Amino acid sequence: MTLVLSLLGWLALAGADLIPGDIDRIQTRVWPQPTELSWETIPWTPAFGEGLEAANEARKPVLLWVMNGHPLGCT
Amino acid sequence: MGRRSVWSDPEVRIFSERFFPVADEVWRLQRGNDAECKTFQAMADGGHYRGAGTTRQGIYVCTPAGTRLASVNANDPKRVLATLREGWRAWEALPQEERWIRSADHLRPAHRWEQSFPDAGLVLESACRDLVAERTADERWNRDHVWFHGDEVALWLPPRQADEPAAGFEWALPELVTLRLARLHLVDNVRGQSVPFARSEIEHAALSARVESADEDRLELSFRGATRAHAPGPWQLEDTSFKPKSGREYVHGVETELIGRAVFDHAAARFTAFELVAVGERWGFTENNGRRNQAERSPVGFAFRLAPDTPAARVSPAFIQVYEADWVKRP
Repeated sequence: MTLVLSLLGWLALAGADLIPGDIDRIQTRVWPQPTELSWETIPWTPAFGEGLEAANEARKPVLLWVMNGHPLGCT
Repeated sequence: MGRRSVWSDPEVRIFSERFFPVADEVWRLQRGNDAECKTFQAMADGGHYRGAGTTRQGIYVCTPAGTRLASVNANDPKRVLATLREGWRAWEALPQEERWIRSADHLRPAHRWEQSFPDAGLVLESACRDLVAERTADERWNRDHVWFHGDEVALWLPPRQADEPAAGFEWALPELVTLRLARLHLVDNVRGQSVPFARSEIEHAALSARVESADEDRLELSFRGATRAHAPGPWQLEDTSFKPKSGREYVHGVETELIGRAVFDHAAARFTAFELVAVGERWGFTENNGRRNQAERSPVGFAFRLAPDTPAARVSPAFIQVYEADWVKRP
């Protein structure tokens, strides 16, 4: 844990257990910023077959994005 | 990261509004045998990756009827934009009768992990990230989801024998909770999907809870714990899709300290607030987690919170097939 604490100077936790006040600071560091979430602002339908059906109803062609690991989950 | 570089591009975003956006996990689609998978394979197999047995990941433009119009696998927004334009031109040239389907009944999947989504349960979104001193613009992170079925929500609450627990009451959360987190969610996916830990690879997993306040309406809880998982090499799990290629062994591990807080609403019978964080170190590498050149120990952070009520948040946990839960519907 020493290495973590040395790199996370902003946590100022040197040698101490995590305290409730650290929850917000760690969340601020770990959760993505809006600039890191550009793809999530596109209203993806998260399943291929369901997407074809919905596109048919919307009378639009499909833009399909597939990855190893769901693009909207863990990839 | 491709999903950031492509979809933040203004031209790509504007042009993509002409299409209906769909995203999915490709491993099942390219190997499965149900109608949804077969439709995908018929569409994608002649695309940018034509070799048999290779991945079909990428970006496709297709008709609702399942005809491919253009495809690419690229992180370069210009190449993606060119593909979208090519697909749009092909769409405009296509006769109306070739665009649409009359019924989508044949597209119903035989099995998707999302069919096990725990509507009355505890659904968390999670993020993991390397903890370096200064945040950088191209920093890697990843997300996942964590599921607890409705029947499992009580595992986060004071034991039944503790009637009307008062502030200060403490207890240890059961193994089902701690092992699900340590094995399947405190995993080094920061740079790419890793593999879950086996039970035998969990050296330590403990999470205690404490009642901070209690009244007839709600319980305020706090959490504190620690985990250590170390995989020394030989594959310890069953033959899942995560199993490394024959004969390959990977040494890797994650060690964390956790702290969190939550609010449970008695009337709603659900958590209305939930925040859990973990900081620690990861080491080693696995087949696809992008750590081959970074096997030494380095700091990593995790965060968990209530998932929003959106279609994207219903995507299943990466390692759902390894959940030890009878409510998970299996293929």
